[in-house]
Amino acid sequence: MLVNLIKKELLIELRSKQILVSMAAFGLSVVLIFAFSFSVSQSILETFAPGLFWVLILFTSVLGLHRLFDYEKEFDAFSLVIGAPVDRGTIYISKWISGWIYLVVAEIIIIPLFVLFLQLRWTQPILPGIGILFLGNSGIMAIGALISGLAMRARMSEVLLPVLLFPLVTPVLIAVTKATTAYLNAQPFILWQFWVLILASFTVIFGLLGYLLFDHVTEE
Amino acid sequence: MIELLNVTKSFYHKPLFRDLNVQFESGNMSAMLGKNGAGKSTLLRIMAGLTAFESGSINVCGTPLKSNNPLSRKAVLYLGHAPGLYPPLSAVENLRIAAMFYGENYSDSEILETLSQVGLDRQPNDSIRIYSQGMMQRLKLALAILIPWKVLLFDEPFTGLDEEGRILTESLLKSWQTEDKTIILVVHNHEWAMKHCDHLLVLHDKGVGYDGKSSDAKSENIAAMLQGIV
Amino acid sequence: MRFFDKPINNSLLSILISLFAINLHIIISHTPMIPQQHWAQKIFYLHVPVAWTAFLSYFFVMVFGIMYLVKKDYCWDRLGQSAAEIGTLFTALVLTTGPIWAKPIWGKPWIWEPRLTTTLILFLAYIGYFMLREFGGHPERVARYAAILGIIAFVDVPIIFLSVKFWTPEIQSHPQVEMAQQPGGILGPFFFSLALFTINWLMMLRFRSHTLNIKQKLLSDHV
Repeated sequence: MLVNLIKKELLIELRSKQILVSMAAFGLSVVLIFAFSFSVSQSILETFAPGLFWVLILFTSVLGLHRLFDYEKEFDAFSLVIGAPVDRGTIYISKWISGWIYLVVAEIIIIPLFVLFLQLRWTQPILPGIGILFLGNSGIMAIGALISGLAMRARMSEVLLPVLLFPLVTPVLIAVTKATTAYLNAQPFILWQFWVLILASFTVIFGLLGYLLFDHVTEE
Repeated sequence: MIELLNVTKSFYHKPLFRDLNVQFESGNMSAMLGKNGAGKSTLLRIMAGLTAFESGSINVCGTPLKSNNPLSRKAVLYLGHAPGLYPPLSAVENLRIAAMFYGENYSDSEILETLSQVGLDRQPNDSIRIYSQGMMQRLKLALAILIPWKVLLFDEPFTGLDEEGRILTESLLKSWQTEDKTIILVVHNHEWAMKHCDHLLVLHDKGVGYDGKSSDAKSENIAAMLQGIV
Repeated sequence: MRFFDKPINNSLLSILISLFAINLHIIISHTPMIPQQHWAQKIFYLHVPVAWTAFLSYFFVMVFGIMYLVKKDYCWDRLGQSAAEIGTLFTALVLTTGPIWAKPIWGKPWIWEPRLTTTLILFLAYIGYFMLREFGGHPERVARYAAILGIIAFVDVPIIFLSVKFWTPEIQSHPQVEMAQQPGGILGPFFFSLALFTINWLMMLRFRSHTLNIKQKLLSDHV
């Protein structure tokens, strides 16, 4: 059922293209703003680049998270899936994974332009960077999917979502920024494995919480 | 069969209905009536497992309805006011996905045949965003044909339908009425309900105004309750 | 009956006020003056119990949230909301008293010390909690959502603290440890103050959940 639910999410996005287009366009706009706003030396920019990047990803993911449940509300499609004999925790997992996929696709577009427009140098092997990226995305989406479900039926949900999400996602932001900085500075893994552990723990804890609590989120 | 035991639901701390004890038998078509705001649609959504309630319990074909037990919802199909489908997808895609949620796998030809049965075979692959209200209603009928349900909860089945659609809906409901299924409709026309349904439930004054066979009900009493005279 | 019309509540309030007056007197007159910090250090007899009350409150928001989801009784939701309000009030007090101490001691009112930073993040999280209560819809749904958010927020606390602690490892401050190593006459008044604030918290919780109960009864009669 999980695979089918994810296929459904991806099919809807393939038809509507709302989430990916808005995430990518927004991400690119912010990169442009960063490029214009920071007239500092290249070395200072490279010091701040990991933090800037992850702030950008966080803001971009809020856009995606809001849309993740938006189309469920439009024709009350949510009542179809939650009224069906489908485990509601699995619905949460499908939202988490599909949100993660959208974020990765948006990053494939955003990252090269982020590096290009801010004229950054990237000499490190790519695999650890991809690992940090995937783990960071998992953490953001694990708690994001749950918070987005909470905010879905509220008034001012587009404002409520970031207000609820940002304080709670600070451990992810700190951990990914630290890990990314260490990775780009070619520090040995043993010096930044703690942050990877924080990310992994956060993802597991909130993934589990989301699975257990989503029943209560879905009911009106 | 679906059974409600002491079900209470409140909104803004004010009870919508209190200690509802009702049984909807298999093989019966029941009509739920009541004034606007009596809680008909809410009760339907509660029975579908979509809306939480404060106290009491609901049994569906002997299984307690619980949010953390998806199998307790297997026998129930809810068709609400809103389409309950995905706007970017086509009719074929929506029906395939809905059937998948209920563990069914249909080929495109089977789905197209069902769409033709309800008169929606002309634009099966277009996004349902372009559908009119009547077309959405017919799509819900297609859903009810495809999904293997034992309890059908249908909120205002005739909304937006033309004469052909009304006849189609009535004939489908009639065909399901002869099978060992439970049909619960929210309708506003009590005369239609008394003529076509086996069982009437009138929600009135936070409780039950009438719960019994439609043949035993007096039209003027039902009308008085619905007009708020009683 | 009004809360303070009941003799027991009235007596408890009077006793609490007296004990707070005694507490202040003890802090001002009967606690040693710490070298280098002088009068600024004395705020810790209040700052730490205030912080303790804030975190105790948020812990119970989580507990009451779990109880509400299990029992579905609104009394747990009222308790949860009361605890959240008290927690947020005391968090705001921590964020106020902290800088008051920090300015003369550290030379600037704010540094990213792990406990203060965690408190700030929690304060912001609970601003979101109240926004959810306000905009979440009808109270029956809001009760459930607030319970979930209370659970998520408190589960996040240790992870937030750990990540903030190692974010700037050069900033470490453990005033309690320093206090424990100081000459005698500090721990006694400190624990007295801590116990007093805990009893005060209980009193505030009972009072606030009582007023929420009355408000709910009024709403159910008049809406």
